[in-house]
Amino acid sequence: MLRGIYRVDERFIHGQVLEGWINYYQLKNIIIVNDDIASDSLTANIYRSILSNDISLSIYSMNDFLNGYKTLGLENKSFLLLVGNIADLQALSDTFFDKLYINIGCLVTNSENKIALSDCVYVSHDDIEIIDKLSKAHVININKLPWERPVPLERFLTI
Amino acid sequence: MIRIVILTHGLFGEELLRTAEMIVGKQDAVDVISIEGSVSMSEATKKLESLMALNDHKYLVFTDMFGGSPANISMAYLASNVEVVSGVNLPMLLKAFTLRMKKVEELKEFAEEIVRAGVSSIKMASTFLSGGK
Repeated sequence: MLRGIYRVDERFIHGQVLEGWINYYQLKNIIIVNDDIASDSLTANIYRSILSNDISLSIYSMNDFLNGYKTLGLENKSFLLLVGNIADLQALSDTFFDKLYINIGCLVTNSENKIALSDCVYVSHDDIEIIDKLSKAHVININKLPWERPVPLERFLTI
Repeated sequence: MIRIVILTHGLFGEELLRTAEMIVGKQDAVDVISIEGSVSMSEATKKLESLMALNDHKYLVFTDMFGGSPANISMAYLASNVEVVSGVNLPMLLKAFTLRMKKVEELKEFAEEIVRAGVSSIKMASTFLSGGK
């Protein structure tokens, strides 16, 4: 089981993540688990160019991470793990620590067909089912920045 | 003429252009893309692609913050006819417009001169004004 900050954000590394989560918690280990980015060297290089040299960025496909996370030596490290959607969050659930605080940053793709939970978080009914299930063991908040008051997703589960 | 695209968070780019045009007048061949929180990366990418559809033109894309979504999107389009400069400020945009008036057409030279203008425009007054405490 791993300790770390888990975040769902389809923009992965961007201004809020850099100035907020990475700088605020002085994180040195960033992990992206996403099949598209794992096979997109250009985007991976752009993300690497953004981070200072003392920050490690590891990018994995979902299968590679699930098969190999126990060998990564993450147990004693603080890290930020980024996924791009709720389904990927669910796929990672076996790696979760007993009780985890998960933040959701930006989910706006295909927003017209989804339910708005905030100005930058839109979810499908399937997403809500997953959140409902995960919320029984973990705390899932909409939380753009660490110094902002998190909005618990439990309040939306009755819709 | 080198075409300019300003791609920023929120309405910063629109206001920056409006302010620059207050100083140097209305400009041609300049477009702004504003990325609000509710705009997806794919939507912003489509807008940028539609503005840069002319392969025989040169483009300078200004973005606000290196590492932010606007810069991340833009960097994927780096090419011989596309340069990206982050950290845009008013003196940089003014320099771009005045260089275009001087018919500077070489993209790398254009971008380098703008970066120099941006850096040199940042001053801390007490370091060069006597009597500063």
